[in-house]
Amino acid sequence: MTDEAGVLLRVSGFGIVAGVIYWFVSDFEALGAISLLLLGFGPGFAGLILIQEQRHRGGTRESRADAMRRFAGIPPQDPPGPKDLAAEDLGVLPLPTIWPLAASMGVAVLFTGLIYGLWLVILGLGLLVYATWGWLAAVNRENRYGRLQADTEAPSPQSGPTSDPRPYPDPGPPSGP
Amino acid sequence: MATTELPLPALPEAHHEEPGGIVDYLTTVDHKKIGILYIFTAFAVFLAGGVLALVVRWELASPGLQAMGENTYNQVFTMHGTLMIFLFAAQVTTGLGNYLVPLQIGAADVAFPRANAMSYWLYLFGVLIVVSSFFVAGGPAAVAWTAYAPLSTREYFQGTGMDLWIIGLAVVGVAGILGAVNLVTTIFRMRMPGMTMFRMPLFTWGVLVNQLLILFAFPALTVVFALLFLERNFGAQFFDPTYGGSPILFQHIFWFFGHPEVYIIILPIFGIINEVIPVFSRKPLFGYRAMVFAFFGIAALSFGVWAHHMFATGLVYLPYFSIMSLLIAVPTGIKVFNWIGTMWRGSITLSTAMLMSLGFIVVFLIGGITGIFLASPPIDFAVNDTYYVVAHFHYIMVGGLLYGMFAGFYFWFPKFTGRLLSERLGRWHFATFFIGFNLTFFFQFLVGLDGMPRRIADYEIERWTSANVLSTVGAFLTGVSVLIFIWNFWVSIRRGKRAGDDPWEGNSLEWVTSSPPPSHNFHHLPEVHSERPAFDYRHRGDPELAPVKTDPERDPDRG
Ligand SMILES: [Cu+2]
Repeated sequence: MTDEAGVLLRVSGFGIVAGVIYWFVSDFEALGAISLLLLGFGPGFAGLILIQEQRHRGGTRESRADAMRRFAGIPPQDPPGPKDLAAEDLGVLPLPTIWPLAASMGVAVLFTGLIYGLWLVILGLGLLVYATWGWLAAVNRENRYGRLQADTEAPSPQSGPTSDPRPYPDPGPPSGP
Repeated sequence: MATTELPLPALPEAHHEEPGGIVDYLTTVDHKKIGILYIFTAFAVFLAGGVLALVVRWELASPGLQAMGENTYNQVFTMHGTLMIFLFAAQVTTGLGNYLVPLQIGAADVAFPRANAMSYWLYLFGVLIVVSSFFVAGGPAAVAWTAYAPLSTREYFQGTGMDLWIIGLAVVGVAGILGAVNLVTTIFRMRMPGMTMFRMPLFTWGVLVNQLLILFAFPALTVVFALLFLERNFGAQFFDPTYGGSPILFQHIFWFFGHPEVYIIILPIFGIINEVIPVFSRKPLFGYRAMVFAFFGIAALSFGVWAHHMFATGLVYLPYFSIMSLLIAVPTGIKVFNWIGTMWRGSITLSTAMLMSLGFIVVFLIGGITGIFLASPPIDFAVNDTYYVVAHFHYIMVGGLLYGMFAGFYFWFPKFTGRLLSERLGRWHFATFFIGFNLTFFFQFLVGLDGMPRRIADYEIERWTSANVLSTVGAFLTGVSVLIFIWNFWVSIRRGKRAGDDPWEGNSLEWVTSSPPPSHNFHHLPEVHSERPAFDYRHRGDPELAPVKTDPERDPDRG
């Protein structure tokens, strides 16, 4: 059990309990009961996925009692994080791109077309498809060339990719008091 | 292991070709720039909504119709509510979250930077669609921000304005869900090593719970708008009982979104207050864990109370919704108690951010307590749809949101810009705002109890006039206070005092990096072993203040 899963499962527990109680006390009013139960099942599903995923990666090595304690909100003291960080953990920032703007414009035109007529829907859809294509191409390009460069050598987390001709500025002491 | 995505330093040359100026912003995927775009757009919407509020107050200052006819009045207050609640309140906090969350958890950016850009642009286009309804034949929607069907169906309200309203808000809804997926994933997956969930700053907690609420509540909004749109344009009959529909259906689904929306707006604000008060009290936050669970208590309960907006329909089970609504007072009370506990015997600095936070506690308390009365059906029946309700939710929304938002602006402006906002102008801002705000809304409680209905363009009862005049004077004074803030911003961004990286001696990681932060956020991250990493870092080597290290052998990669 991770804290993330715990968060989702608590929401889920509330939804299910509140939904069942509501179902009976409201004399079987369906809409509210269904809404609350959906609130129970949606986050519950996401929480179980998180736990499953954790298991795949070897689990938290946490005893069942500890897991229950975490679910109840009283987890044991968490340790400080490791000091040295592996290169594969590098996050990669994407390049600036116009496609999110174009795709949003497509969505906006498409939706507005629902009022003004089919031609706008088609126009919006075309724009959206074109933008999505450009977007995916950009992702693809960056995955192929961007990440490779960052991964060829394992840079220390504070110096940046060593293959880069203009190396990252040294991590001076953070300013401030 | 969920949390070791290292935020450093990420293809630095990704930025070497960044074009300058407007193209820079059109193509940006930097969460900080997107956050700034959110904040500016939302603030522009706030100014427009504020002008509409002044128009409303102008009309109501005296009996009789002075400035406009009744339909125009309906349009004005409808658009006031729409702009403020849908397009400003929930979005300005998303902007702050966008800027600050990756900094507070030590990440280089959000989980999906491009999708993040897309959610901003969708929001902007949604705003433009809604605003465009001012320029179509028949004008904008005039059925209040709640747009109850069947009032909002084509049978009772024609015109493209209403359709643009639905479509624009639907687009904003999509933006909200996309943004929520992004921010929740960021908080779950991008935290730096050592930044466990229970070491996250409370602003980040507030944003997390807020975005989870968006994720679970906005679909209901999208559904109800889809139903309404189908009914208006494609002949569906969801709300018409003669065809087997239900007129109450709209209210049920709408408020299943609508009440959580209140907390979508207010939870990040709680987060801001949680950050500001400890810093200016020179004490750690009192009851960190209780604060986190109060967030969850409030969030969960907010989904169980929707029908307290429907007591007067006579079609809901009163005790259930009454009890659930009253229960919300418990976690909220815990929060207020803990804020006071944090200030208790602290050495308090009355900076503008702190003043705004104190103002927040006062007005939020008034708003909250009057809300407890409304949770009781007998009282609700008496004051339903009167100015008492208007006063109550403005104490929560305007009071809660704006005080917290301004506290956040004064607090983080130096981080955003490298300069401090003027404290002298800030004090003027606070004073005019506090007086103006209370003048505007306090007397509305009284006329409300006296029976003045909301959503009316005119009233004939003379004894209501004085309260309404005071309200109008207060509203214009509040307008002046906002102008002072804008002036402060304008002056300070050019000639404000240089702030340095950590002007307030803050607790969370954003104060460790430069002001403004570099595009990849951090050149260096300290080790995290408590919920106050920046504080620990400042006092490293100080045996009295250095944090107690826990056993590093024990399960080092749990998150
Ligand atoms: Cu409510």
